[in-house]
Amino acid sequence: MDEKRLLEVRDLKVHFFTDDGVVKAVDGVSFHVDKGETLAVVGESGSGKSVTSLAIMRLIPTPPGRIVGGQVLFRGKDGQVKDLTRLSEAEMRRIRGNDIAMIFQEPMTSLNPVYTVGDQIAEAIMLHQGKSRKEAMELAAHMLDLVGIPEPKKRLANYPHQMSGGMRQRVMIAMALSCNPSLLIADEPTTALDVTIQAQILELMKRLQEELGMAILFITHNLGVVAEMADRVVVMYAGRVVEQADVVPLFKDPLHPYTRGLLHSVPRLDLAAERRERLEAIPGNVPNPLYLPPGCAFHPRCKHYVEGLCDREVPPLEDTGDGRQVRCVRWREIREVRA
Amino acid sequence: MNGNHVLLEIRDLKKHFPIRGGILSRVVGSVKAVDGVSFAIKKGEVLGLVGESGSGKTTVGRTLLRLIEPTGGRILFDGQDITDLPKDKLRPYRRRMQIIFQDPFSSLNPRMTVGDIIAEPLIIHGIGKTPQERTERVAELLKLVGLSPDHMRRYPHEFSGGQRQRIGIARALAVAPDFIVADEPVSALDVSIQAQVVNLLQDLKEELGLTLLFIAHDLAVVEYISDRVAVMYLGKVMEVASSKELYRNPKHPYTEALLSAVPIPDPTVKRERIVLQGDIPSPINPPSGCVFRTRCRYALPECAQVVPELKEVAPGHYKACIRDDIL
Repeated sequence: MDEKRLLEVRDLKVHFFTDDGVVKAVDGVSFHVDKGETLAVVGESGSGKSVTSLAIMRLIPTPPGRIVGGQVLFRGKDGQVKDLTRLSEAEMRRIRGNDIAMIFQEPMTSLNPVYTVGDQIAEAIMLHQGKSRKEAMELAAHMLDLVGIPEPKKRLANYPHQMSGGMRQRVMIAMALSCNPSLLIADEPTTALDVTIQAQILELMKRLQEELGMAILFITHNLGVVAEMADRVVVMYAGRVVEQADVVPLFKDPLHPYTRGLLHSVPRLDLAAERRERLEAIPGNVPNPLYLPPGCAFHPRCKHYVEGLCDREVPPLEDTGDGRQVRCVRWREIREVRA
Repeated sequence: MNGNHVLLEIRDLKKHFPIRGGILSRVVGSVKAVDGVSFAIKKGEVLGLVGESGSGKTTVGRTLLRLIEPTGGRILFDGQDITDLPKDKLRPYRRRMQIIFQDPFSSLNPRMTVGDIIAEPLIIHGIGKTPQERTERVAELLKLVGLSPDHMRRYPHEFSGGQRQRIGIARALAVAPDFIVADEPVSALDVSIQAQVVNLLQDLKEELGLTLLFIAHDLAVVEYISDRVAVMYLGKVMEVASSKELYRNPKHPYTEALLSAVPIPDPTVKRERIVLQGDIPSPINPPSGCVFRTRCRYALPECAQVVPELKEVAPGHYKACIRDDIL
């Protein structure tokens, strides 16, 4: 693995074995995260973005889910590259929290309501760094201060319900970063928050990344948040990566019809006053993961669909030559027509 | 009716929820969810109502339909004061005022077929005398919202979120209302589906001449669909203006901050962001004077003294702020 690589997901497959059949929630996903960068994984419900992040942490509920193939290569703090899919549960526990930490959408359900926030942050520190309770509490106070919680020493004694949603997400971030991980996985961390609070949390994450230098794997459906946070973007649809590019070219010149459709279906506040045309909605529905369409899973909703071409085989994820990847057999034609 | 006909008006609308405590469950305080809101919606107009959680926007929508009873103020529908109308007298107005809910999962009865769900308001309001007539009307409504008449015999769980929201819209339209409260109708939907439902509402508005109160927290969606927008904060209206004017030229410090907080889906756009400090205060004990002053970067000592009135600062543009020297 390349020296600057922190994480490399190779052909990851996570399937869920249900009574109704096999759901291929993640079906051959590959991407990487470099040290200190922010990679956004974008997708709608059922795209497999959250399952991917849970699989990296080995938190897939088994049964019904199982990692059935692929590798998750991760460079630990000691510089050694390990395949996380092959680690024992004990080895994995040392990685979680220490090397890779995770924050979730709902800060209320991810905090324990019967312990004070101080206890919860200190627990992680004592577990991973072998510090005494007193030292851990001091570090916890320092972490709360770092994430911008006023009067951190006093707040240690608070229970989660005594805090607002924004505060709780700050506590989650404090806890996640308390062991100085090299990768932070943030799964829709601002989706449950109001926009003004979302703005606070995004600013906070950017500042902490500058100060602490961790890489962020940012899972979201919000394209505005992607534009603001990401260095690079992976777009997922129905369990597969359909496009991968740096953030600026992706928004300027989306290659996959799905990416393009997504970008055109959101109203833009900054353009609002100038033009008011009809939103370009993507027709149809997100497919049922039990009955994925044959060939390109997006073809029933795609305006560039060609019978006999798009519905036969799953298109390969092609390198475009300029550091981007796209999974569409017609991307060249579509790009030329647009130019 | 001319274009200036006011269909719905609320004057100084208040909804205070009592807080009970102690062994005798005495009222020990109140949550001032809506605290003196006034606006008027003209026939055929879409008024957007935006605000963050706890701003009282949903309570306004429900109170003006009298789904919850107001604590104070007046509600006028088509010139008639409906604030104190008894239930039987209110019913004809109920037919003319409908609601679309946010969550298309919990707002449809899972044990009823789609046909029965849409026909229920017809039965309640005595529209369509025979079952055949009602079935025809249901088929017509399903087509209107982009579904197929065959869907009538299916159950809600067989549909996706976007389709369910279409069913909710068909139910609201069943009794041919003049006025609809759309309470966060797209926020539970996937991005690619949101646009479908927004476009549908836009088409229906044109086709049927509907008047809408569109409640949402997503400012871009509200801007897109609304003619005028009212911004709420902690139970009060902070600013009202035409949609274009509000977004181009916000006059209230809260609107300014709210707009700057919305992430723009374009990585090349760089803007100055005003990050508001702290959280929205508790509506049990809101700040004195201007409720926004505790987070306002322009606040003066005077802001704590008086509750600012909503006053016209430009034609059709109102703000509740004592500082005329800013923005």
